[in-house]
Amino acid sequence: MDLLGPIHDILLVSLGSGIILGSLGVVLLTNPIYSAFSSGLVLVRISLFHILSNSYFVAAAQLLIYVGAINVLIIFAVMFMNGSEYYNNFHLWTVGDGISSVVCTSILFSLIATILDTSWYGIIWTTRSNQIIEQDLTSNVQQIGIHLSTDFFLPFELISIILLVALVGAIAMARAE
Amino acid sequence: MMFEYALVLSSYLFSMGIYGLITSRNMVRALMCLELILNAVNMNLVTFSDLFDSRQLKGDIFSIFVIAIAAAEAAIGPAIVSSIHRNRKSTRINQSNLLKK
Repeated sequence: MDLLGPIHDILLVSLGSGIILGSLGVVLLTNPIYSAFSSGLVLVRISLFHILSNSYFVAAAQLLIYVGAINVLIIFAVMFMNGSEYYNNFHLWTVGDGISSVVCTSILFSLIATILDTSWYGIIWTTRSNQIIEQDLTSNVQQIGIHLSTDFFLPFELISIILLVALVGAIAMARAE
Repeated sequence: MMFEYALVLSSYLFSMGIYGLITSRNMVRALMCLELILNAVNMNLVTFSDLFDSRQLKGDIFSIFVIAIAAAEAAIGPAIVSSIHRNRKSTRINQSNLLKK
């Protein structure tokens, strides 16, 4: 999305800080309903982030499916199974938590070091030179539709079969017998 | 600049999701952390597709497939959790011994 420089930077910083604080809230809050709403916040921020990186269709699909379906389903599951057990059991900081936090922060810092070391713009120049420089006539959404109905037609149909099987399986599992 | 920023943010989300998935004792919270991991993968795919493949957009199509798989997983997961909750009256991960005879 072509915005002015300062507006773009302000949007990036606010979305990034919202994502960081929201994911901390998802993991660390003790009440699961708060962490469910916090995950909804994170999903909305990620959808806005996809708008900033020029992929509008994925942003709309993220907003509709993740926030509209998955997060509502998770909030329903939390409310359906919310007992008094969450408040009795305090979240104790055990040895396993410490070990896994050390491992995850080391993974995070090694990933950040790798990202900052790699020269991405050299890779961009080598891939751009292979592509034919021409003005594309179709928009992003039309491009995605063309790919879904030609190249990716078989995975698209398999996805629909998977969704049908998941629907039947969820009903068969959640039904009280 | 925006590119490295998005990659660092998605690696942060990924490691946060891994940490929550390992240490959470509640099954619904584990599902939420799984959504965080899938969102990190989606952010990576969208960012690389915007930078390297802005004419063909195959990364966007793969992220749409990931979203559909996540929808199927979010339909199955709470069904399993509610079935366990109905049998065991608890959704804690370290107390589920349904296979024990």
